[in-house]
Amino acid sequence: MMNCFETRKEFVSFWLGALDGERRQMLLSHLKGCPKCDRAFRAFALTAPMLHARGDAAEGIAGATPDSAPQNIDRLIDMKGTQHANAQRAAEILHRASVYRIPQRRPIHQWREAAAALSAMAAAVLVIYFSLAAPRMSFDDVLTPPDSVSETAPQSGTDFLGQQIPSMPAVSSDLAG
Amino acid sequence: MRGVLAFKRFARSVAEPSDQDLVAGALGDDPAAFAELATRHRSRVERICQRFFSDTEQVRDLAQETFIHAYGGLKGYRAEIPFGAWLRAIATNLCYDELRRRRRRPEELVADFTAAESKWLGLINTATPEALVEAAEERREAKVLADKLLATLRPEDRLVLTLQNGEDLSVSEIAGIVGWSEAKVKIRAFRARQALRRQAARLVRPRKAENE
Repeated sequence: MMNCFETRKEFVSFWLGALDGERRQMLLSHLKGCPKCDRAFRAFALTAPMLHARGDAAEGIAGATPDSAPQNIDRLIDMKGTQHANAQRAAEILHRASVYRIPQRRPIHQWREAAAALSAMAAAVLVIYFSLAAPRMSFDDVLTPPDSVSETAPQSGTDFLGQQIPSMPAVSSDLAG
Repeated sequence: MRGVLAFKRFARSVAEPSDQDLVAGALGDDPAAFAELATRHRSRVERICQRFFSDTEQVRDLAQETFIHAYGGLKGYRAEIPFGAWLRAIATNLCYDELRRRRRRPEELVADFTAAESKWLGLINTATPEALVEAAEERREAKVLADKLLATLRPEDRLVLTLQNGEDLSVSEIAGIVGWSEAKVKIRAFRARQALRRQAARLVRPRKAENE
């Protein structure tokens, strides 16, 4: 009977079919009786096609035509100076050899840039107006009620029905300490 | 027989210029030489990029970027390294940069499964171990699902596992490409495997022992 450590050590051989009959049976019977190793094997089976592949599973894309080639390589043509010249030349060579197509610079929409500039200017004007030209009110001004009281508003010491509100008893000097 | 093979190799070398000849030509401002190099190594470079990304457009982008970087750095190429290995290092570093740019979060994984992948996951949870071993060989989704699990790892974990298992590179070769020490490559590979198994274990349902 295999223990857990031995069983897990044999996962790769079992996966690759390199385990002899007796050890294979021992491994299988251990997996049947040990839920932890069974779970570990199933997790192993999920990763094994990548970690322990039998044969090369990668497929080429050699049939790709230059017309269907890259879209998102703007960063290459954003290079500066000599780098840019080299990149441009390399791209041309690759294109001429029908390996890849020349990367195109993204079209610049001038109206978008103008709209963005106008929006920024409008926002700046509003900020300046509210910070300088608008009447200033302090926090206290906002909290203090205005002097004029409307006729419908209850007078001080009465509620909305005009009844007297009893005043709170004065705190005695003993309790006040 | 060996003599025939040697003659064939000699005849091919006479007919086809070597990579080093083509590099010398490209440095001497011969565009056709660089074009020939690109044509010769294109599928290999694309295959490396494909190990990291499944999106065809992305793979072509990175492959083209590899050749453009190679052209720019051709003066720095040393002839003692095979040209293919030099290109592989450029492609790998570009793929690594791209991985770092767009890191994927593990929680995205479960929502991403196709019907075929979900079926394979169901099989993982229900089939016997022997049936799993048999089935995995034929199922493309087994590989796709394993790649999706790999995609949830940190870029450096993904890089080292892809080079070690996908490209069959040794620890010293990986260290040479990515500029890490061999010890760091070994530790990173070990931790990457652990992380990958942890991610896989999240998808496996626990069950009771049959012998109990």
